[in-house]
Order: sequence, then structure tokens, then C-alpha cells
Amino acid sequence: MKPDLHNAGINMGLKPHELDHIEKQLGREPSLPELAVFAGMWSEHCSYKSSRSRLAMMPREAPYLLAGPGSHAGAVDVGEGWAVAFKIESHNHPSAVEPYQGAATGVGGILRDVIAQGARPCLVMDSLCFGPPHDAKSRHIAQGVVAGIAGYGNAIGLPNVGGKTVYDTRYEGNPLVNAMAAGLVRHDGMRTARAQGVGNAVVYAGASTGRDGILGAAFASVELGEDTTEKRSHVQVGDPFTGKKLMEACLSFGPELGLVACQDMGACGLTCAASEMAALGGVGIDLDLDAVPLREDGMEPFEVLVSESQERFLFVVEAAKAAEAVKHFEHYGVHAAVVGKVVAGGQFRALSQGSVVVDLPAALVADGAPKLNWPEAAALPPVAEYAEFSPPKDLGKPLLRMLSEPGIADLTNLYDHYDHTVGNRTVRGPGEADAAVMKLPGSARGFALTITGRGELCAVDPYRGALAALGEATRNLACVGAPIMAITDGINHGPPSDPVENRRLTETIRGLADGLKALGIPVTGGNVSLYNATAEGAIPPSPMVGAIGVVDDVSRVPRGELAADLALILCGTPLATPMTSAYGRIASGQLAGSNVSVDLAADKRLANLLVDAIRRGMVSFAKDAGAGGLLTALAKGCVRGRMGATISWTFEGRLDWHFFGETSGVAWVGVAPRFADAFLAMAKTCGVAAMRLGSSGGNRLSIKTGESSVLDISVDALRKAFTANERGAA
Amino acid sequence: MNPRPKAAVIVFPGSNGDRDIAESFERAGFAPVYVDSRETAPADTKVVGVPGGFSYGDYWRAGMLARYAPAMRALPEFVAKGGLVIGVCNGFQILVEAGLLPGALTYNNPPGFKHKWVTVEARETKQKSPWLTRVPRGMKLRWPMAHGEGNYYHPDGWDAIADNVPFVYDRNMNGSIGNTAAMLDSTGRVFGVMPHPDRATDPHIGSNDGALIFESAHDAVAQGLA
Repeated sequence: MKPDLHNAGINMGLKPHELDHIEKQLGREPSLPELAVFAGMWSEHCSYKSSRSRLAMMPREAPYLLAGPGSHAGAVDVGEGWAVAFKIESHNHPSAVEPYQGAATGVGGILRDVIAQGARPCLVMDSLCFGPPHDAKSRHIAQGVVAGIAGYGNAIGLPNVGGKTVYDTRYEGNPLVNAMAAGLVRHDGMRTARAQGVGNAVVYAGASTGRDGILGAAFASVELGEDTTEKRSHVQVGDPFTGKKLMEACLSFGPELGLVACQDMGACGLTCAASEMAALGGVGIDLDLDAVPLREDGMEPFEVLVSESQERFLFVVEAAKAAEAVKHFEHYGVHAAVVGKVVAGGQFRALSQGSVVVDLPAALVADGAPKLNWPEAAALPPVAEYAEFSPPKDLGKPLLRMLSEPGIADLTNLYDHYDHTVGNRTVRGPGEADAAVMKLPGSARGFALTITGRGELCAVDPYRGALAALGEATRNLACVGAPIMAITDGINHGPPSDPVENRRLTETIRGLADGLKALGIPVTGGNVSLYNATAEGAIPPSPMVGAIGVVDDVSRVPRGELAADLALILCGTPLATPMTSAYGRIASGQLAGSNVSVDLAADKRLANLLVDAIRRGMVSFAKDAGAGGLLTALAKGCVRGRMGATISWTFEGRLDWHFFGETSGVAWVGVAPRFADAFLAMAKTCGVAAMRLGSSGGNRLSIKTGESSVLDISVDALRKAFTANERGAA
Repeated sequence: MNPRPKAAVIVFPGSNGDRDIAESFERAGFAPVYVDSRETAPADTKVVGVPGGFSYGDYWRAGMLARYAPAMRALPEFVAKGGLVIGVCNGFQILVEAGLLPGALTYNNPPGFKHKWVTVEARETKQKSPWLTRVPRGMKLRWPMAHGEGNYYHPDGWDAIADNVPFVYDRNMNGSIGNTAAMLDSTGRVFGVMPHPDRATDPHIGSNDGALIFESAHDAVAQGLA
């Protein structure tokens, strides 16, 4: 390859062996626009070249899975003829550079995946990891991200129904912004990206194409460095108004109007949509770049091909109906144009000013990136045990500290930036239960979604941390009566070029795969974001788990708020030994200890119990013990319900680890006293240790072990601690 | 049995509450029809809903552009002939911009978009409104609010509007004078409301308190009052 062409390819992010592979496969030198096509499509973001073979470890099949990995968005059967299409996507690097637009376009992008599946989006959730709130730059990023998510989601009219926000020094400079969207589609309304029918038209619809986000996918595939802020031009700009018009136009454009296939133009834009649709259908596509609506003069063909301007879709439309299709979109105030056609063979071609500037095998572009097999460290560096510290005598002080800890503390003010109720589906929104619950149209049936991640555990042990995230998702859903049925995963990791980080990636994926097998559920697709690192180092491995389950009857969903006169039952077996946890970090001053406590089988047994009891209408309050441990969970229930509780409990082992340790299979349940015995009997049948420890009432949270009081504190004091830092992020 | 009376829901580019208000009309016994803002409501329409959302993206003052739509221009005559109009959230902003309701809705104080379940209290108004016959004075209702420009302002102050304010928030949510949450025109037939009764017509999703509004309108139509 000529040196200047070679250098151009390297500058776009291609690797020397990839350039060689391209030349060998083509039997000639590529053109400059062709190099840009490969740079985008063979970026980590689009090709999954470093992770693809490992991702295949995860189970991907279930009888209720209507669309799996490789679809726009995975879809599961939720009953009554409805499917929920849902997917997670990361926008980490753009959000580091331009927080508002990075996050806003993250939301817009994931919505288009759901829309492309034919589903009407009905919710957004997010999983965010920021540096600590006392760091000014992290605060700037957090505020921008929240505003961006709100700005796009509110305007397009989707409720944000919950999520998880983590503050940790290890995300300073490289925040994680993972957005999940879900939508409803009738089983027979799902759409395909498979281009078919030689002679059919390729129709472009949406915003015109500009220079924003040129090769953004490639930008997302390198580490953030000092020149990062210079990369603003790689960040796209969102326009929710255009997004809304496009959404309505797309959802009302079905097969009866000539629709054959569709794909949103996300990462790598026009190139990705056209080449993937052609490759999937085993056909070729000719694009006429001169017909593409442009928003700036003098754009080069390669810029048009790899621009990541937002709010755009590409369709394959029956030839005879193409003109009508364009009119359909224009009726909705959306630009549309015929920009190409389906041709025989398998070439992806682009023409500009009468000459062919790109002529590549679509399959080579879409699926041909050589797999990268990075070297892997033989073992992960060991993590030291927590230093010894003596247990507190009274739980009050550590509890108040836990409740005010960023990431555990109340986020009501943050969530109030988001609309929770637009669309009339939200049964449980942010903070109202351990998972969001939405109802199906005209039915008492619904579905629950949760999103979680346990980066702080994965930093110690990615395998067990991934299992813990699946366990927490299982418990969250079970607390609203939904058995976990499938997940979408968002893998956020450091650079695989580092052997240790690469080993961590293997461990994370192995953890997800083994966990999914143990739960008997599939992954429906997801997202991989590697190269999350700054000069200070890589982020902790942070697999996000977005999980779904069906709720038979939304009127029986318990709340995460404690009500009066309930029998309080603790399910599960807390461990009174040191383990990596928020408490351990605060008490020892060390980020992590060596032990990650996880037992997915215990979570599964607990979930079986909770789902069964909730379906019988027995449960009024359910809250799983996650970050902060079981006492923090109960205290949150007290604060949310403005309700006290009295607990009496005798146990072995250290008080503090008992109440603040983070392990699997533990949850609080509040039932009307008349159901208590029946619940305990059911627990026995399910193999769950359960103890009736007290009841709710009054305005204090009091705990006795044996004869001694270890906690006696007013709910008001708990509330003050819980809400003290409310403005932390927003 | 009489056919269900028609309720027209005007859909602007960027509207996102059109389905919510249509569902609420339907539950109250209406037959909702969506009307493109470039067209006008069918002749036999008894009730018009102006939905929430971000008409034209609300990139300028909320509601500023929507007032010029043909469907909106037809409303004064529709009201003069006895028709009923409800505007929720962005719909309220549009009705104010169109001059069908007095005053202005400006940026929240403190500023920013805010979502919250709020309690509003019903007040006696000078003109009885067909939208409120099922809502006795003093009744407290729970609806979600979701807006960034809901701060109600009138240059002549509270005294100038007090007679026409059917609902006030139980505490000041957005800077509105007198905690104003809703407004009636002098006929009582045009009702603008900032929080969302249209998101409170299904007991499964938090509250059924909004149903009273739509049921009141249905009563009025059934009794031939609209």
C-alpha cells in the first residue's frame, strides 16, 4: 500500500495487519473513501473484533425469545400478543468530552434501535458511573449527562423509570453512560434489516447529513487522552424534535406502504446501515451519494459515508412504492430521498459525481473484520484483604454514613429532572420499588425492568462481580413479582490491548455466561465498550445488566416503601464476615477487600419465593439487600414510607458485617401479619431461610440483639441523612 | 344507546401527550379522534383536547408556534358555538399563547424541568365550568406535573385571575402566582391545566383523580350542554 494511504488508514484507527488484510482480500489498494468505510466498520465499536468470540459463550436462546443478538434490539414475548424490544447502549467517550450531547445522543441512538425493531418505545433507563461529586470536573460531567438524558427523553416523550448511579474515583475522566430503552411491538409487527428484492429502492429518511460524528465509532474505540477535548467534532448533536417526527413517521411506515427492511443510522452511519442490510440479505446495494440530503456544502464522499449525524434511518422499499414512501415521510415533516437501490451480487457500492468511489463486498465490510486475539494475563493481580478494624457498638453512626453515601443516598432530585409518567404505563417509577414496572395497553398484565452493575465488585473479581450483577437483577425483578427472563448486557471495560484488562474481559464474560446458564435465561443482545481508560488507568470492569420479567398482575406489585403494621421477615442468610462492600470501603478506607460474596443459586431460590408470594397477593413490601447491605435496605424502606420498624434478632458473628455486608439471596419482606406463617412455610418449601424479626410502625427504627439495643433512631434522622446530598449529581 | 361523543385531540409535530389524553377521553366514554394540527376537527366534535408535549420541539417559547396551526385558529369559533376545550401542560401553554386563556406561562422558578406527583386543591370559580361538575370545591386531587415552563404569570396579579383559577397547588411548585395550577376562560368552557389529569385516569398507575375532569365533560355533552 502506498505510504500516504497506509498512514491515512492508521490515522483513522486501522491496524497494520488490517490494512494488509484489506489489500489482500480486495486484490488491490483501497480508495480513501473505502479506507474510511473499513475504519468505521472495523472499529471495535461496530465489529466487536476483540470480544466477539468470547461473547458467543453466552446463551442466546429461549422459546420466548422473538429476536436475539444480531437484531436491532432483542425482543421477548410478554404475553397477550405483545413483545418487548429492549437494548442497552453506551455513550461513554462522547459523554466524557461533551456530556450533554454525548448523553442525549446516547438516548436517541438506543431509541432508534428499538424503533428499527418496529417497537414503539415506552421507557428509558440508565446506568451511570461518575467520579465523586466533590470533584468539580466529575460534577460537571454528571450534571451535563443528567441534563442531556432529560433533555432528549422528556422532549421525545418517554418516561425515565429508573436506573443506577455510581460515584467512584475510578470513573473520574471516563464516566460510563449506559442507556437502556424498551418498546412494545405486536409479535407480527417486528421488522428486519434484511435487504431483499433486486431493484427495490433504498430510501433515506430523517435529518440531513453533516460533519458531526465523523468516524465517531473509531473515536469510541481508542483510549481517552490529553487531546480528547479536540475530539468534540467526533461527538454528534441530538435533536429530539426531529427524532420525534422521525419516530412517528417510521412507526407508521409498515409493509403495506412498501417497507421491506430498515435500519437506523447509528455508529458509522450510512455505511453501516447499507452494508449490514446488504450483507444480511445476501444482496448488493448501490448508493448515490449525490442524492443524500446534506446540511453542509463541500462534503467529501467519505464524510457522507461515515458521518454519524443523528436522527436518520435507511429503508429498503418496494420499487413501485418508493415515491409514495418519500411522501409519507414528508407528511411527517421528515426529509426523505431515494438514495440507492438493491442490486444483484453482494457489493456495497457508492457513487459520487458519476464515478464509483466505493466498491466493496458488503460481507467483508459488515462482518469481515479480522478477530483480534490479544494476549491475556495468566492471572489477575491479587487484591489485599481489608485491614482490621474494630466493629462499632451502635449501628446508628455507620447507618447514617451509609445512607448519605453518594450512590446509596437519595436521588429524587436527580430523577425529578426526568418525566416518569408520560405515556401512561408507569406502575412503579424511580425509587418506588426495586425495579420499574410498566403495564401493557388495556391490561392488568405488565413487565418489569431493572438495570444494574457492580463495578466495585468486578474490580476485585470480574467473574464473581458479573455473577453478582445478575444476582442483583434477579432480586430486583423478584421484589416486584417478576421472574427474570432475559437480559441485555452493556460491557464496559478497559483496553483489551493490556493483557490484564483482556483477562478481566474474559472473566467478566465468563461470569455473565455462567450466570445466565445457572439462571436458565438468554442474553438478547447488547453493547461492548472497550478502551475505557485515562492516563490514570482503566475503569473497573463494569458489565451492566438490563433485565426483564413479566408481571402477571400489576395490582399486586409490592412497594419499596414500608407501610404500617406489617410483619417484617428477613429472607436469606446474611454473612457476618468481611466482604467487598460499601461498608468495608468506608470503614477501612480501602477501595476493596479480597472477598466478593456471591451465590446465584441463593438469589434464584429467593426469587422463586418472592414471585410466588407476590402473585398470591401476600406481599406489601419487598426490598432486596444490595449496596449498603440489609440494614441500609430496611432504612430506605423506612424513609420512603415515612414509617418506623422494630426488629429483634439474635445471631452469631460481627454486628457490622451482619448488617452492612453485601451478599446474595437476602431481602426484606413485609406482609400483613395474617400472611406471616403462610409466607414462612412457603419459604421453607423454596429452600429459603426466613425469619420473622419484627414489625413496622411508629416513627423510629429500633433493633435489639438479645437484650441490648444496637440501633434506635428516628426515621426523620434517617431521612435527613438519606437526602442530605440530594443535590450531589444534579 | 347514543353513539359515543367525539373528542378531537389535536396532534402537533412534537406532541407527546396525545395518546394519554385520548386514552383519558376514551375511558370517560368519548370516541377520541386524532386531528392533524394542519387540519380542523370534524364538524360533529363536541370536545377538543390540546395535548401535552413539546410542540415544534419547544425550542422557542413553549406553545409559541403551535398557536398558528389551522386546528388552533378554528378554536375561537368552536368555543363561541359552545364547544369545550381542555389544554394540558403544553396544551395549556398553547391556549395561553393563542389568547384563549389569560396571562402567560414562563420558566419555572426555581428553573428547570421538574416531574413530581403533586396535590392540587379545587377552588370555587365565578363561572361554573362543565369540566369540573364532578369536582367539589376543596377537593384534593393527585396528578403528576412534568414541565419546565409552568410558572403562571399575570401582569395584574392574583386579584385579576382569582375568580378564574379552579385549581391551586398545595405548595408553590414552579413560581406561579397564587400557586395557580389551572385556568378557565370567562365562559368556563376553556380549561387549561399545567399538571396532568390525563395521566391520572388509571388506578394502576398512581391515581384515578384525573378521570373526574373527563367524566365531567362527558356529563356535559350527554346533557346537551356542549
